[in-house]
Amino acid sequence: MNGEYSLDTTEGMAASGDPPTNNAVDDYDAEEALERQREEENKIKIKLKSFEGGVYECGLTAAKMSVMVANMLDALQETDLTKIATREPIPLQNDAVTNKALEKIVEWVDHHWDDPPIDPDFDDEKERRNEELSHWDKQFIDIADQGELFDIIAAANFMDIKGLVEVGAKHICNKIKGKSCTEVREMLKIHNDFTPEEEAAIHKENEWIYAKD
Amino acid sequence: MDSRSCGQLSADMAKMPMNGTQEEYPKDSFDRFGDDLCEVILSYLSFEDCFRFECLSKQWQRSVFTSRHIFSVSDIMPKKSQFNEITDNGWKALESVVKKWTHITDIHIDIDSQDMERVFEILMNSYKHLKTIDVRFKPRIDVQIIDRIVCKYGSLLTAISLPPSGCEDVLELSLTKLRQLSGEYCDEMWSTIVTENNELLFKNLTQFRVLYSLSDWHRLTPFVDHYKNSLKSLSIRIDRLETSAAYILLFKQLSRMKALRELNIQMIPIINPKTLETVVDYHCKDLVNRWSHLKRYQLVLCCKTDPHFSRLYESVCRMKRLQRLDFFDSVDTHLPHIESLKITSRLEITPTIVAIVEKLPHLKCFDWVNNTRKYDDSDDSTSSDEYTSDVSVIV
Repeated sequence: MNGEYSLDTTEGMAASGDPPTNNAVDDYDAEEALERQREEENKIKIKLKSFEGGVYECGLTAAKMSVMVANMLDALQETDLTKIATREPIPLQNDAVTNKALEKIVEWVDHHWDDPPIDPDFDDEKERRNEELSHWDKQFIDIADQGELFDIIAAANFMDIKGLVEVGAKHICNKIKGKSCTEVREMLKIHNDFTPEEEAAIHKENEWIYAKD
Repeated sequence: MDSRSCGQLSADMAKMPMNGTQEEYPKDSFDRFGDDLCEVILSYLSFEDCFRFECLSKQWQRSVFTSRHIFSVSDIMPKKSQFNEITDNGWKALESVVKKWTHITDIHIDIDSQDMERVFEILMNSYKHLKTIDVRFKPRIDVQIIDRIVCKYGSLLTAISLPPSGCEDVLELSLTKLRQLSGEYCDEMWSTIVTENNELLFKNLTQFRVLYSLSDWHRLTPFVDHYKNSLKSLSIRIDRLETSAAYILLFKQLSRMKALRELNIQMIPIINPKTLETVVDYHCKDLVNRWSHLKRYQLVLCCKTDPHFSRLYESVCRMKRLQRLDFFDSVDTHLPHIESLKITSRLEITPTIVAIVEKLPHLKCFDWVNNTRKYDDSDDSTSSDEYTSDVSVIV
């Protein structure tokens, strides 16, 4: 059986002379090393301070999911990462970052810090946008108090945590899906600043949505 | 260095404009969000909801259409009559979309009729700054439509999918216009991509889907020579080849393609057991080592015996970078990056298999036979329990 294909292996095939995928192997090692480094760094805890003054501890890699926090840490130019742990807490100066919101945000980044990064090899934006929230995220974001929910979304937006803003956005869009305008206005407490005439005009433009055919 | 304290830094941050929260709005009102955040949130609305909720407030009217860049025509015009004609309402919808969704950069369209050809024309006339134009011609479409579209817009298309064979003569001329193609090209016939003189028609493809049969052998070499360092995704359906040597030559050529990250191989069942044995043997001993750069792999190969299955599976487990595996049988080794696992088999799901699947740290989607179950990988045991019960439902 071996003989059957060893016959052909010599048949002028450049392929058999190619070295087996050295680049890819190196890439893989580099990726592995990066992953280990992220794991190590997440063992270092840093402190974040809410607008209301509450202090919350969070792994370094997790905290860096906030682009804002990552930029602030970069600006410190601290080469010895362990020193970051003993620093004074990083204050988050936006009134959406309440104690409750920050506590939830820390919970979210602590769960998601080891998510695989977006792979530039595949253009999946369309797929990702349509992907349903995971079971964990659904439970996480299902918050009865709408003020608190909006705090978390606004705080995540302020801290620039794209993944969490996306979770909040998908949650809201899911909740209002298929509802009437009146229902949505009531639910999200949106002030209607159109005159009845303006509203009727928009409605007429979009009439085709309601037609059944 | 330490003189720059966190306190100072955040004082700088505080001077930056704050998105969203403004005092005059109650905390539980959506109106508290600034336009930027509002746009991001509303970008997840469904197509219809965008238009239905435009009239909620002036902020919604401003924001609801601005963050749309991708336009998938099939999501938007499903309401067609049985004669493939677009209804009046469909045309009205299109008119609205073109008028209000002004930021579109990506179009994806399935063309199956003259009406869809018109839709495509309207889109091409409305959007002048497109980055992606992905056109899929459906089976049984009139070849003249393809010809007209490719002749007129061929130089702009970035991805195209042609229906299975039968039209290459008509299209011979117009296909030469497709020189801008950079995305996916999909066609059953090699002859349309590699000319008689072994010249390639398209030079910038990143994805390619094709049927391979023995007569295509001479076309394969120039193709691989050109694309070995650039093609990222290849989907190849392999017709029944006469000898095991033919399979191995094909695999050897394919394994020269170092830029590949996604490979789908479908083989028309191999009948000769000796040939099958050789192919499996080569796959296990040699091929997987050459394909360690793949991140997504699909192998559809009809195996009759268990030893074949488990050997193939074991060998695939040496491809450590895999994120997606679309496969045929027993799960029994740990693949660290797997997010999606699809297994087509008639095997029973045993508790051992469940235990192994549960160990995969990044697994998000697990698809068994035709039953899709979203499997959420979380630390708490509740979801594992849920999952186990799902499996028993399938069995």
